[in-house]
Amino acid sequence: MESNKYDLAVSHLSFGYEKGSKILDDVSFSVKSGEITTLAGANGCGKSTLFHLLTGRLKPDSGEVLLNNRNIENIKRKDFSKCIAVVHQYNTAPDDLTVRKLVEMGRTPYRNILSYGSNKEDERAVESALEITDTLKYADRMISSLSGGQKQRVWLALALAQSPEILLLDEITTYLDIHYQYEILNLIKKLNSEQKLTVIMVLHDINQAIEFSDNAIIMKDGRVLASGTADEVISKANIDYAFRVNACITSLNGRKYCFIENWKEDDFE
Amino acid sequence: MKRYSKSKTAVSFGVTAAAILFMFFVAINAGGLEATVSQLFRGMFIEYDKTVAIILELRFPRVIVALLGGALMAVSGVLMQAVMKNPLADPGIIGVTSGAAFASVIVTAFLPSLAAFAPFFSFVGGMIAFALVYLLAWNGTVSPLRLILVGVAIDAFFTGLTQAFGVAAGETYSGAASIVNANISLKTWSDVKLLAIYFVIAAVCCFLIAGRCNLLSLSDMTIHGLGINVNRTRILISVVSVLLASVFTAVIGSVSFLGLIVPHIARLLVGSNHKVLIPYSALLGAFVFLLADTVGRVIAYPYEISSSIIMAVIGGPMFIILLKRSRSIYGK
Repeated sequence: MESNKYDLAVSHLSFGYEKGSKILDDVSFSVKSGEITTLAGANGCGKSTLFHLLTGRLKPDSGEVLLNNRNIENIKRKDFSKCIAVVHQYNTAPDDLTVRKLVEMGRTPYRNILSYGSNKEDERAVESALEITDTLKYADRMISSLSGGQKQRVWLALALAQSPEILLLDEITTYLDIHYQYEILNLIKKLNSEQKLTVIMVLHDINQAIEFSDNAIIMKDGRVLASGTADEVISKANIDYAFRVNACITSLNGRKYCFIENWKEDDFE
Repeated sequence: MKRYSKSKTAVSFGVTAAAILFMFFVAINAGGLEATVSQLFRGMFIEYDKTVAIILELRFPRVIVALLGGALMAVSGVLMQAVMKNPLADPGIIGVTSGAAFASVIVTAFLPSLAAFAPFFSFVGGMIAFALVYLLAWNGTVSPLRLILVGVAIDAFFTGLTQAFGVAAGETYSGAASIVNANISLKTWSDVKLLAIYFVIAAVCCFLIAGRCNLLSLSDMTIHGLGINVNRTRILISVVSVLLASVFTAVIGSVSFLGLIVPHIARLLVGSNHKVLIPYSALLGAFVFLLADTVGRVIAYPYEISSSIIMAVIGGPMFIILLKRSRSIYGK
């Protein structure tokens, strides 16, 4: 199977929820396939909006999101979902739904309203999604009986059951403690290196971004402030400006770290 | 943590089916005429029996109408609750059946020649009421409180219109009263045929959309990510739900709480997987509505209390219990 064939890019994307206001203003970048890209920026900088535009839930006012140079608005939703899977920070499922039943729903893009039961291909995809996320051991438990970290792995398994090439992850570690944050991030790293999945994730922790991503895009006020390799982009100047802080970037045992020395008080215009 | 094992589900199905069978014979025998099971059997298949013939012409249609109607209404409730992501949605409470009732009253009054198409017109009326509730209560999601408030207003509006019309038309127009009061006496085999046709349609539709109902229990963002058009799915399931409630209303009348209580009990017994929940709700709905109708017939014999009144008297308090419990079951 040939992988890394899907390229995701956005070109001159602008969007506003109301006329006149612009949440995103002429945003362009392309995502390197087969690599992990972190999307960072202060609250309200437009990353969530950008995320919804990438998933096709919102339609841009101008510009386009391109998948293999095709505007995603011209791609059938199901074909899109076979290629791109999304995980959100907060998810809901009925109390009595088992892990396996949920992960089976990940096969929805491959089925239509007439298909009942699952075929070999579906079963194989579900099984391997459960296996790689290490959720096979509680496949028959109710989702509501799992801990936050376990739940998030299950939602990742749902996304993987779609057999995607690209994963879009929206702050999926936000509600987890540090242990589970690292567990999830390591899992993402593993998926990237073993299955060559392209990952685009919204992440708040700068040090995790340094550690786990190849590339970074930093946004500020609806524009791309910087994009490139994580090493280039995560600089004092960029962090200071994007997050209104005084950052200190240092190196320890050959690894780059970012400490926040102070924050700048908001000047309410 | 509740688990819904296959055996518990099987027992629920078995017990309910047996209860229906039992209720069927009770209902057949309730009233002025009586016949034993063997007499019934002989009268139906072996030799002519006057008592049995009367029962066959008068009570059988009524009992079967109650069974089919109860099933349709319960399934309509399940579907509406799936669409609204709200366990308190009921076609009766939120005004769908009163919209349907108003439309069929108007049609039977002004265009009696079109009476055969009453289910179609009541479907239109039901859709209008549902669209109103949906548009007024929808705010990204439907909050239970908002839904009930808007629904009660719409329900009152259409019920008021129907009653005003009934008064204006005078005592002679009993059609309005029979629809408003959900009168299921004097049902004939043609009513059975009509309901049976829609029952088959409903079964086919439900077979197709059960999986979609399960998907709707996830968040809209997740469903979208799975390549499903959320709004189109909602509309599709709503149309089926309103259709079933409207057919029920056109043939039987306006009944509240049936579509609420039955799915709720069903969920407790067999869980929320719609591939099981829908058929079980149909079974349980058939039983509950036949029970309500039979109780109404015998409780104040020789007078009859309408099944909608029985449902309201039992359903009202149960609705309040559900409201109080709904936080512990569905709230997070």
